[in-house]
Amino acid sequence: MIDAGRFIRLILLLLPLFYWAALIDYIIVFTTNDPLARRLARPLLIFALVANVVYFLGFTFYFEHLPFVNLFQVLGAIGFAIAAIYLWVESRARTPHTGPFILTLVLVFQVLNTVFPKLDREVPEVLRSTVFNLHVSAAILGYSSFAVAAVYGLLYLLQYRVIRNKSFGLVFQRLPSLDILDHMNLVASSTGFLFLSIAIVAGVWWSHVVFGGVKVDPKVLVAMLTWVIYGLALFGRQFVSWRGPRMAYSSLFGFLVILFSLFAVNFFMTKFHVFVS
Amino acid sequence: MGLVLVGLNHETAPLPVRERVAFSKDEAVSALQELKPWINQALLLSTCNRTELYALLADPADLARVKETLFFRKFKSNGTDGYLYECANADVVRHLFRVACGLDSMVLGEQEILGQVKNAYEISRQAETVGTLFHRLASQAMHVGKRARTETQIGFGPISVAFAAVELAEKVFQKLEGRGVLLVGAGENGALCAEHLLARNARPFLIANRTLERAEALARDLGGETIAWKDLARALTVVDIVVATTGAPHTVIQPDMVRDAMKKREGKPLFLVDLAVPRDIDPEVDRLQSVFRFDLDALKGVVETSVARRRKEVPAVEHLVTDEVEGFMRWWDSLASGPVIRDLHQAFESVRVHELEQNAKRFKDEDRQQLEVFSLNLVRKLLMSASLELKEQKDGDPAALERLAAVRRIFRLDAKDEQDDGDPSV
Repeated sequence: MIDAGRFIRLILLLLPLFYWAALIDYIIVFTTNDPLARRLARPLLIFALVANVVYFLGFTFYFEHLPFVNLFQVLGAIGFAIAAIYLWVESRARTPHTGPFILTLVLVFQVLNTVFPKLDREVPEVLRSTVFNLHVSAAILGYSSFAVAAVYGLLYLLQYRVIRNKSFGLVFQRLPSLDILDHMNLVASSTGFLFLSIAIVAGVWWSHVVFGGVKVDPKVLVAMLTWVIYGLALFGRQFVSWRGPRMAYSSLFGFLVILFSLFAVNFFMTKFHVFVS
Repeated sequence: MGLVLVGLNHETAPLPVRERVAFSKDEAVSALQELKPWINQALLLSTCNRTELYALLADPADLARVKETLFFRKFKSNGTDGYLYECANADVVRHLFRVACGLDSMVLGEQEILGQVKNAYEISRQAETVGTLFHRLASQAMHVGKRARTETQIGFGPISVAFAAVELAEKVFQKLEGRGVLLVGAGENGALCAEHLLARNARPFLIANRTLERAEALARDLGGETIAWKDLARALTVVDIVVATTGAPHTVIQPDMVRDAMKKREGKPLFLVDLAVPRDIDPEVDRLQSVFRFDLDALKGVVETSVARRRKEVPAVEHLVTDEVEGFMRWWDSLASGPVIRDLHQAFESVRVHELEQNAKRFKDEDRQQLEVFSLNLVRKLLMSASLELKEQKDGDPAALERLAAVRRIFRLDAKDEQDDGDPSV
């Protein structure tokens, strides 16, 4: 019989490979529009996602906690959520041509998760709570949505430049219209904002339960800043015609702040927040 | 008997000649009926760029009469057929397939020809000049035409300035439904462009022109509203797409006008098409955010790109046509008496062998030999009169062709992939 721990390690090693295969196929679809590659794209991505779910379930049962404890595990989960969100978006927008851009981000996150594994049962006591799990899950979904929004923002700016400069090449042909890209950005930003709000409320609640008050660390500040940026962008879009390129720049800026929050603040720390150390 | 094609197209005959031999639907039906003494089956394809008769002639010598009836009566031949081209058998099939793929069209790969082939088939059905051969010929032509457009990029991208503008607008707005259009000037190019936009349900449609009469006439034709020239700036805040096509010697839409409009548009994109020479829209508007301006040069660039792309697809489409012509000729050859008799015997033989195998256990070993002989004789005798009758069928006789085709159909002698592609009129 296969050792469960080794099996989980094996899937973790294979996951980047599965996402890589899907990414390569999406790149072939983007560049050549090959019918066979088009037929294979979704099944390959679904296969990678199913393998990821198997990994999550296996990890949770074997190590007795969700794999959301350190930065890299959170990144892996964000990668998974981005890929899942993308699959849904693709079925709605009916074009596979934004796949290469989104899946590149997914692959980067998944590689980081695999290269820096944390396969043990150690979980800081303060992190063992339902409210904490809600906080983390909501934050992951929120950040994933913002990542998707940022990619659509970037693609909007790319297509915007291409059309304005009248350079009608592959990008012009393959990318969806500005209207669709703007709409996708809005949907993803709004979803992200909703989940980040839930994450913040759950975080504050959890902090009250564990510490008896709100602890402020750099991460909390950056999260609040992110919330304000997206809040302003969405408010601006609704009330002061903050659309098109401005909305695209806002979601890119917001995501850069998130990346800063995840990497720069965590640079010298292994845990997600400082106050646990 | 032979399959022949005689016709003229935009490359062999000038417009005044093509006009004279263009047939409306009713004219085509009666022309085909008039040709009936000499033709067995026929298809008359008449579009603005070609008039072609595909026919199965009972006697090749009758071709002269067909040409006289269909063409020379309409224009003076001066004793020459300079405008006409003709070919026979496999070349006819190849020509029709190339036509259906848009390879022979004035605009390479254009889509309309498929509908025109379908209409021609309908007309032939009405005139009762379709038999097995022409049914197959028309349905396979439609099939090849569709394959060319789905399997290659022969029909890809806009091939006119007006279409290029529409495609670009769709890259900004996705759907044009409900997007307002302002036509500045009442020029012909602008009207054509507006027509394409309106066909995609772009509404409302406003027209501004210095002379109101012309604008009103166009508004009546296309279904729009006219606005006063002085209201031009205000209209920029209402519509999403502007098509400018005036004959003014200077620009009529200046950056200030657009800047003010953009403030009131709350960031919504504005799509400007400038079809005028000299230009109507100041290129300086390019500096403004979410303003997309395209002049004739830009649009022509788009057209040239897609024309070049279509040209690159020609070899692939020719290859596809060759494949399909070979398939068609194989099917046609199978309608000769020899192949039909052979296939009929094979079909019966395979039933005989299958039944013997199925029932082998029910007979003793010593009886099997007798059964083999008995069944062979039975099949041979059953087929004897049919074989003799089929041998009598003269290859090339149209009536014989129908009978042979019926035998193939009744006994299902065609492999599945060789069978009919269905009704081309569907």
